[in-house]
Formats: sequence, structure tokens, C-alpha cells
Amino acid sequence: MLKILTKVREAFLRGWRGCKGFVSRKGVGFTIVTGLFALLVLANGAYALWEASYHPGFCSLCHIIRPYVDSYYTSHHTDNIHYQAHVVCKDCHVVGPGEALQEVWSYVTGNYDNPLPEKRVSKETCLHCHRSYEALAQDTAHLERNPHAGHWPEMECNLCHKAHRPSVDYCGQCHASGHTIQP
Amino acid sequence: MSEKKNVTRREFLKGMAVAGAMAATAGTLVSCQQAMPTGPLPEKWDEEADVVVIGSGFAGLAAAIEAKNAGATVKVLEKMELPGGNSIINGGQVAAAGSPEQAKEGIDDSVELMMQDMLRAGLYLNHPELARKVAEKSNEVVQWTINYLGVKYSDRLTHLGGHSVPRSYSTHNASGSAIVTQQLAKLKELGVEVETRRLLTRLIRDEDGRVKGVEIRDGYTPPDPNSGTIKYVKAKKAVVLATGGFGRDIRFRTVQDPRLNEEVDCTNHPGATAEGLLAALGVGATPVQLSWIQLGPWASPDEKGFGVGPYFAAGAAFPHGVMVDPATGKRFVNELADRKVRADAILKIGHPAIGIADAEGAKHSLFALDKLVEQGVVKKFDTLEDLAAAYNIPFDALKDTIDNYNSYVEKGEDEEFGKYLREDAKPLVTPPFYAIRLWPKVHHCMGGVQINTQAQVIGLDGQPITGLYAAGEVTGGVHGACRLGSCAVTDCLVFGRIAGQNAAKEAPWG
Repeated sequence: MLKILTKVREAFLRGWRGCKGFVSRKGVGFTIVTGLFALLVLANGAYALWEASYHPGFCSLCHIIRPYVDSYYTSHHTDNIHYQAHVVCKDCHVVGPGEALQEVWSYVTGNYDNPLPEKRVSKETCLHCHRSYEALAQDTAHLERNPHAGHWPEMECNLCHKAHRPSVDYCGQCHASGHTIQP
Repeated sequence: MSEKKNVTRREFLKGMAVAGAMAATAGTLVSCQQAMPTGPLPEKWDEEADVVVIGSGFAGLAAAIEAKNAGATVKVLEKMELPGGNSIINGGQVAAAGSPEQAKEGIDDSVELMMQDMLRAGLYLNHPELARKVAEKSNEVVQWTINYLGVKYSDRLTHLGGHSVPRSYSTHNASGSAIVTQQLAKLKELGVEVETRRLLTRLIRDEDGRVKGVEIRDGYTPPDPNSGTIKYVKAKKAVVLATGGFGRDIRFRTVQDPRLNEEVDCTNHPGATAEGLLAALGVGATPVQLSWIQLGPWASPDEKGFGVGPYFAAGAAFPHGVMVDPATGKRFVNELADRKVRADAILKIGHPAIGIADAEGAKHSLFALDKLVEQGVVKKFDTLEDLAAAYNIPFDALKDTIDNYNSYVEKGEDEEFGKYLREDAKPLVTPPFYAIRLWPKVHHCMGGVQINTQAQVIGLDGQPITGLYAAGEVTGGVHGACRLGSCAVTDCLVFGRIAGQNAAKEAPWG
């Protein structure tokens, strides 16, 4: 990691020195204007890219991610239920620009696992839309054993609800509860 | 040259003596090290606490509460995704000798009687000082769960197999979760949260013989052994091992008892595997009786795991009814004998036994009866004829068995098998009749690491391993060859508390 950073730094300094040589005193005004324009184009591009990244099609540009997007459109799992509810990838896969850049970097350098390690979406992310545990417990109160009102009121949703593969009955590992988890 | 020549005879002898002494010392060192497998400390500790507890069942949580209350900083590491281990799916029964409930019901009991019951069931293989400690502290620890933790129990004591008298408290929801959730709440109040998905991979024992920390996999995804990343947690005072039994570790349990292969079901949660025990053996803990693995005689082959059947079998059929061999229609064992006697007896007849209770007796299966009937684990019959026909039991023989049993109930004495009959015992006459098929399942590991009454783990040299305590099912010796029902929770809580208190008292090493 450090090696890579050092290389990036060296390249940056080389470029900077080159730029300094190019900018003569006479052309300062021209350089500033061109520079600003270039910056504007870049910023606009970045913004457009960022906006585009909210569309699942953007995510499927990457061959590692494509299977998950395909599943999102066509599966019988939780992901497809979310597609039907107009929830997009980035609603659950919450990433900031920094993280996104890092992912691009990992992709370019080939420093990634395929298939990707399973992401565990936190219950806070789920409850952002799904209100609260209490509300969910009310929704499933008609079930003989209410899975949302058990020993662990703070259970992570992802223990049962899997997004891109069939959900599992976590409780059923010990209890013969026979829950069929909604996708 | 000249120097060599000048060595006098006296000096030579002195030299020899020193060399001899050194050789002798070296010998001691070698044998000591054989008994004390040590490893290098990590270059850097990622985290630290005074007391590091491994496991979050009854024992681990009790240890954590005590250590924290004694002023130590505490970490509780749990490999599973949720805390509670096997304890949270346990049946919630706790044995106590000389309890106020017994006084209320006029039951005469004592520490001595409870200990004798434990030893008799354990075939006297128990380490008697450990069994005594559990019996001595049994009432105190149950009162602690009530007064300090706020655990709620049902009003009536249960009489479980192998106990001379009724002495078992049952939690209000008939589950260990009633205790574990209170322990977790108390711990949270004390500012300690269980850290889940953190698997113990190695205990770190320094060359000076002290256990100084643990290697773990952080972000572990059960059961993938390669998931998560390696981290080192320093235990400034001590590590408390409370990792439970290995009933679901088919490889390891088959090594200890080759009969218990993958075809034998188990009542435990999926995390009941051996790696905690193995980590202790890896640093030279003494193993005790690892091959004594208990089978539960109240388990039904018609449902998986512990299931719900045991509530009917142990709560209704055994104390208030009979268990018969369907081939003969006869009883074949005292239905309230200890688990080993009953499980061995069922295995000996070679096919599932039938537990029977009438409508009166079936009332004692708590909330479970309707559910069991609905699931078909327990079957309901209007007449004994129907019951006999359903299981191919010769009816006349069954009728004789039940008539005889009813006469024993009237006399207050079981002339055949000496089963304890409560004063309010009723004859089996009230329809409908209920029945369950019974075939044993792996339930509890009596064996484990050796501890003393202070919960210190004993090394291969017979000395306590400094900085290492253990409590609960990972330890061996308390129950000998066979654990009595409801003595495990008492054991876990008693030794968990002792381990936590003593761990907090250790002088920190750095």
C-alpha cells in the first residue's frame, strides 16, 4: 500500500514540475482560464458519473457485480423485492465518494475477491425504510412464533434475510420453529 | 596448556558437580517445558482488558458480571452471531439444595444429599470436591439469579431423574433464555457488551507459564474457520474459558466415543464444537474424562435437535406416567433414574421406547402439549387400545403394566423399579392418553479441562496454569460419568462466578 502511495506521489511531483516549466509568465492568464475550464469539465463529469452510479445498470458495468444486478432484476430473493419497490443498489450499499474511488482502484489493480465477500447490511440501514423492530413485530404478530419479538430484540436483519441468495431461518438452527422467511 | 594441567582433583570434582547440577536442572527444565507448551507473545496486542472471557453462556456471563463488579475491565468474546451459546436454548432448570421453595413444599433436602445424588449418577467418577462446591453453592446461586438478576421462576419445583427429591427450579418460560437475557441486561447495565463473531483460535501462554492473552478471528462467520481476520487480545489479569461442550463436533466426539457418529442427533446449538477445549489442551491443560458424553433419554426421533418433546417426556410421562418397550408392553427402567441409566436402557432394547401419560399427567408438559400434538411428536388417543394399536404394543401386556403401575401409585411405592412417587401422584386412568416415541440424542459433555475449586485450570504438571480459569461445560470432573438434569446450570453459574471473582483478583502482568 505504502509503495503504491509513494509511486503516486512521485508521479504527481513529476507532473507538477513539468507544469511549472510549461507555464511561462506571459501565458499565466491563458493557463488559468484553460485550467479553470478543464476543472469545470472534470467536476461536471465526476458529478454526472456520481449521478449515474445510482442506476443499477452502472453497477452491472463491472463483471464481478453484474451477477448481483441480474439477480436484483430477476431473482426470487430479497433483492428482487427491493427492485420492485424501486430501491436501488446504493440504498443498501451505502458508499461515499472516497470508498467508491477506492473500489475503482481495487478494480484497476486487480486487488479484489471474485465472488466478492458477502456484505452484511446493518439493521440501521434496513430500519431506515422498515421503521422499527416494534413495527415489524406488529406486522408479524399473527405468526405463531413471532420472529421479530424473540430473545434478541436487537438481532441483525441479515442473519435471516439474505439479499442475493435465499433467506435462511436463523432461529431454526436451534428451534424447530419452521419459519419460512419471506424472501 | 599449563592451565589445563593445573586443574586440581578437587576443582575437577567441583566442576563435575556443577555440570551434574546443570544437567539435572536442564532435565527439570525440559520436563517442565514438556508439561507447559508455550508460544511467543505477539509483536503487538490489538486490544486489552484485565479479564478476557471466552463464551457468553451462563458461565461466561456470570464470570463477566463478577469480574466487572470486582473492578476489573472485562471483554466477553463470543464466536457466534448472537450471544447466549447453548445456554439460551437450555431447558431453564436449576437444581438447588435446601431452597425456600423446598421448605414451602415440605421437602427435606441437604447439600450432602444433592452431592450424593450427583456422585451416584456420576458412578463416583466425579471429582468430589467440585461436586460438593456445586451443591454447597446451589441455593445461594439460585437466590442470586432471583435477587440480583431478577430471573422469574414458576411456582412449583420439578422432580428430575436421578434426584432423590424435587429440587429443580424452572424458569417462567421453561428456557435458559430467561436467565441469559437477564445476565445480558445486567452486563449491559455494567457497561459490558458481548463482542460477537470473535472466535478463539489460540490461548497465548508465555514462557513464564502464564496465559497472557488470546489469538482470535475477528469478524468470524460461523462455521467458516478461515473467515475474519487474526487479532490479539491481551488479558492483563486472566482469561476465563467458558466455551461450553462439543456435542455438535462430530469429529471430536466420535474420537472420544466412536458410537456417536453423524447418525446420532444432538440437542445442542451448532456452535457446540471443541475448539475452546482444544485451545486449552494446546497450552497444556489436563483433560478429564472426555469420553463421557451424555445422551438425553427424553428426546424424540420425530423432531430435530432438542425440540419440544422433552417437555412432555421429562415433565409428564416420566414423573406422572410410564415408559414401555413397545415389543413387550412392559416398563423396563425407573423412569426417574439418571439419564445414563435410562438412555442405556433404551439403547439396549434396540428401538424407540414409548412414553405414556394420561390427561392428568399431561398437564405437566407446560405450554408444549398442544403444539406437540399438532406436530405429531406426541400422539393423542381416546383409549389405551388405540394407543397400543398405534405403536404395535401387545394390549393385554400394556394393560397389565398400567394396572400394576396404578396399584403402586395407590400404595405410594413403585414395587418394580422404585420410582419416586409424589404425594399427589395420580393413577393413569383419565383419557385422553398421550404418547411419545423416545430415542436418545447427544446432550452434554461431562468431560473437559481439569479445574480446582477456585476454577483455576490445572496444567499437565498438576499445578494451576497462572492466568487461566475455566467454568461450565468446557470443564470436566464435576459430574463424573453422568450429569443430573438441572445440575448443569447450577454448575455453570457457581463456577462462572468463582472464575470471574478470582480472575479479577489476579495481579496484572503488564
